[in-house]
Amino acid sequence: MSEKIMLVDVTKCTACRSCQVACKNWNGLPADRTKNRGSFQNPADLNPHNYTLIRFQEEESGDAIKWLFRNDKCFHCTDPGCMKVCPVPGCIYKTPQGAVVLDSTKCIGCKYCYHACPFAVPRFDAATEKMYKCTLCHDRLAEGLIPACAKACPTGAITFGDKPAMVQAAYARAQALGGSATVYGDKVVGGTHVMYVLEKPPAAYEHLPVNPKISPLVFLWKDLFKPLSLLSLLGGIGGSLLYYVIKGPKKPKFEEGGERHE
Amino acid sequence: MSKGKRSDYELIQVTSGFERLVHFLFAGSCVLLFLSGFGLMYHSMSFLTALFGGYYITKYVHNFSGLLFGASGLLAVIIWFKDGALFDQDDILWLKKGGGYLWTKEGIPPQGRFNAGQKLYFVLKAVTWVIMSVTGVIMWFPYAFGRSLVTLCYPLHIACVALLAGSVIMHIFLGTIGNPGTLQAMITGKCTRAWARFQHPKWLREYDEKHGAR
Repeated sequence: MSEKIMLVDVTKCTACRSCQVACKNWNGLPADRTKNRGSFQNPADLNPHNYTLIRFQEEESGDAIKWLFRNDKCFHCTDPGCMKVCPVPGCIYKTPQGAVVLDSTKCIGCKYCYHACPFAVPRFDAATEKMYKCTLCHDRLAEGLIPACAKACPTGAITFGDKPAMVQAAYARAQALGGSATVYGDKVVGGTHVMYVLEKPPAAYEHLPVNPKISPLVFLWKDLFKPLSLLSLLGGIGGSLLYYVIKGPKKPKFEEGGERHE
Repeated sequence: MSKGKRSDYELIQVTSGFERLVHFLFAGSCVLLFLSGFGLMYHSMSFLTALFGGYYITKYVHNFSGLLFGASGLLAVIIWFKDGALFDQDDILWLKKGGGYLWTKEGIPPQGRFNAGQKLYFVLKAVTWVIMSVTGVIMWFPYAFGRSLVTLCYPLHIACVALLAGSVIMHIFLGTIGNPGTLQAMITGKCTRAWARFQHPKWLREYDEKHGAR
């Protein structure tokens, strides 16, 4: 069970959306009624029924339009912000292959993961009150299969394999493409398990953070104030008990002369 | 009632029924919020969520006791603002001397209905009541607000927990075994004359003036 990488070479993508269909198929996700928004992209964004999506970004040059296609999904970070903030033990976990799995059956719908995710990936389903996202087909990986989207991709835009070989392949491909082709993923958030070969610099792609990071506010929350609150609680208990043992209670003095009636 | 000197054991009314109701609604909400909140914050305290019947229910217990916290907290701030938010010279001196609790017992200035420590606690509760309620609502319905605002609310909410956890424990200690005679002021509403003279002499003077000291 070695660490795996899914490599998405956007230059090979024809936007056939086999990946979207295969994902729905494997994960048993229902179809959604959609509408024409003046773009071939469908649906508009990731949602609880669409763990992966081809983004159709249009670039105008003169009279012509050029598309930038990008298969978008969870990046399966090595340091996942979602897992760091999830309140339910075992709801978000990592597998040895590097998949970050959200077990929606355990989800309580607090939506922390959406806000801690550098890519804003997990999506809330109001009907079930739970979050959903790509699991890197961890159930298929456990059986030695590759993820459904990679299996279905007809052009070789999505490939899947052992980490060292895939990272090497990514850099070789970017070099072969030349120009401003870049590799994305291995150097951010501890290394992602979904990597890109991009035709252009990351900034050219919509909804793709150039330097994805877990917000410092999340660290402030989980690594400073959280332990401080436990310290505060224990300090209060310990301090009070210690005070009682050392100094004792402050008792009022009852003077003689009055009539006692209790 | 003896005619001459009044008995130290005489019970006098120190809190109203409404005050005690507000106090225990607010206190009850705080207890529920602490139990459910710590259960949700620490995986190792999952036994607290089991108390409520699992994580899903615990989240809703936290949400709805938050509503009680917001409402009862508003009443608390209104009814105790005059007693709790206004500090006089005696209060400042009291704080400088640690209220006679820590390094000295001498020269503790007389206190009114709330001593300066209780006033400090009131101010802390009032400030955190605002922050907790506002951040709590935003965290409950995050999609109605911006991603960055919601992300800011998480550390703010827990920073208040850090301020409150120890303070609430101290409040409970000081109101019960730390100061005998105090708890009944919040249970039956009555205190002994000796307790009032010892803890809140300025208030006792006002009380006697109002009720015609003999």
